[in-house]
Amino acid sequence: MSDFNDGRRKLTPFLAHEMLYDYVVGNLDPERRAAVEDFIRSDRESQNLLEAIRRGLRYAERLGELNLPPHEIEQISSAESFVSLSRKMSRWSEWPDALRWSIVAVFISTMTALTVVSVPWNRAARLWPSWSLRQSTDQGEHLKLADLTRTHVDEEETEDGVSNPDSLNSDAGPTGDSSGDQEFADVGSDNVADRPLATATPVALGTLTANSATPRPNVVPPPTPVAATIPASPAPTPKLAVASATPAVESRTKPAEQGVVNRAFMSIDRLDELAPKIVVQIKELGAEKAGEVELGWKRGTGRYFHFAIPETNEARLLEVLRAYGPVRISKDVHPRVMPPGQLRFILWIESSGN
Amino acid sequence: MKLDQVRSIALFFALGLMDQKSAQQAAQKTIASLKAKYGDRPLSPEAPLWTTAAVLAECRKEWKAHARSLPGHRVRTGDEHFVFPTDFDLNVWRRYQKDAPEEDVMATLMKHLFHATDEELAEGLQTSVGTIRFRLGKSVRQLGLSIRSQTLGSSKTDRSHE
Repeated sequence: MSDFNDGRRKLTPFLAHEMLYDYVVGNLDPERRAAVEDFIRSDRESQNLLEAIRRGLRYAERLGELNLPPHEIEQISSAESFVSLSRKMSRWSEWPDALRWSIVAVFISTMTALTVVSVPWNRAARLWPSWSLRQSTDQGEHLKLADLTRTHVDEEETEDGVSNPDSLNSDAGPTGDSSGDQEFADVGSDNVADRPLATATPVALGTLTANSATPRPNVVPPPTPVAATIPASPAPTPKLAVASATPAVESRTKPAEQGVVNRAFMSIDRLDELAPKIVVQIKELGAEKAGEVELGWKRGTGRYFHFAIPETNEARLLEVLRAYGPVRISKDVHPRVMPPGQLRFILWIESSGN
Repeated sequence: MKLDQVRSIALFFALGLMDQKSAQQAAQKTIASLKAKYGDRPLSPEAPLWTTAAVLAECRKEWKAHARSLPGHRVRTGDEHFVFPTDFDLNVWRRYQKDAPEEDVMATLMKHLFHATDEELAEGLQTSVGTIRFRLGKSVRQLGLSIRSQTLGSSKTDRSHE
């Protein structure tokens, strides 16, 4: 309890002793502080306690100067619990470097593999012609590695009514057409009985492009049947084609036009007997041979017809052919573009019996 | 990892429990628990690893668990376990630690090892600021009296030897 003396509170010894710590650390308000100071001056016990508190405080403050052996501190600091370890490992930055880089490498490899597998490169090459090999290969699916072609006069092609006589035989094989005659020349060559074979002339790769503007020899002897002397080996013009070392400038600048070739296949009896009749009927519809060989060229057990026909007669042509049997027809994209109103057909009739 | 707080925690248990094995276990558990709850990365390079209140609360929890399991309640730890200044008398602390209530010991250590404010101590020990000040005052008075008696005892011993 405190008494009042001259308007100021006087502290009891108990209260004064309890307030000594707050007095030392400065927690008292000025009035209380003054009261405690007054009391201390007159009380010997308070003076002793005040000294003890100051001594104890100094000692307590020095507790922070103590230390433990460094190895013990290290040991304690590395303490982990299951939860703290889980928390630590859940952070990507805490993972071992080797593991992190391995995951990155696997991820990149996987993404690359997925990209390579999933992107339709053939279609992409068609959509962006600049991706392709800048060469008029068959639908961009073939890579031309080499070409042995027969050079010849363009007269026939102009007669054929093909819009681009220059390009007509620029990639032609021995039969004069890379997509038609050549294709049939490659297939089943073992069965070829007689075959008009052109004089194969190796041509530098760089000169062989569909729209190539490179000059060609003007006159070359017409095809001569030499089946007896030359084995019916696959024609030296593979489907694969390599990008020309000197690709035609035109093909780079001009947008690639897409032509269509109609392929028809039939299988009929008495082919030898009916073939001339079919030739006549086709010619009556305005068909003109488009390749090197004559219409109805016999090869192995079949007959080959490569011709251009007015578009208006397409339906009639099919009627005529269906009269002999079922016809399978497909349209293929081809770099050779026919003039408007003209269709190009490659018809193969196989003998089904005798 | 910042070692200031780790050192303070280790010292808190070493001086508070005065049993090397128990102190080490309690400190390790406290550190692991703090890492689990608050991580082991400070928010900024200057910031402490954990808040003082969080450390105090965790220390109090582990203290309670380990103080109860000590055989004979308190076991002394030798001077060789500490690195202390030459003029520092650890026996004063030993006597005080043996006689004082553990809440007072805890408050004193927390105040001077973690440099906590009275409010942080009150939060960490889950009591009022007034109680904290009372405990601290009692503790330092007891420590001061202990130092005085130690000094008087040693001077008497010196005189008897003369």
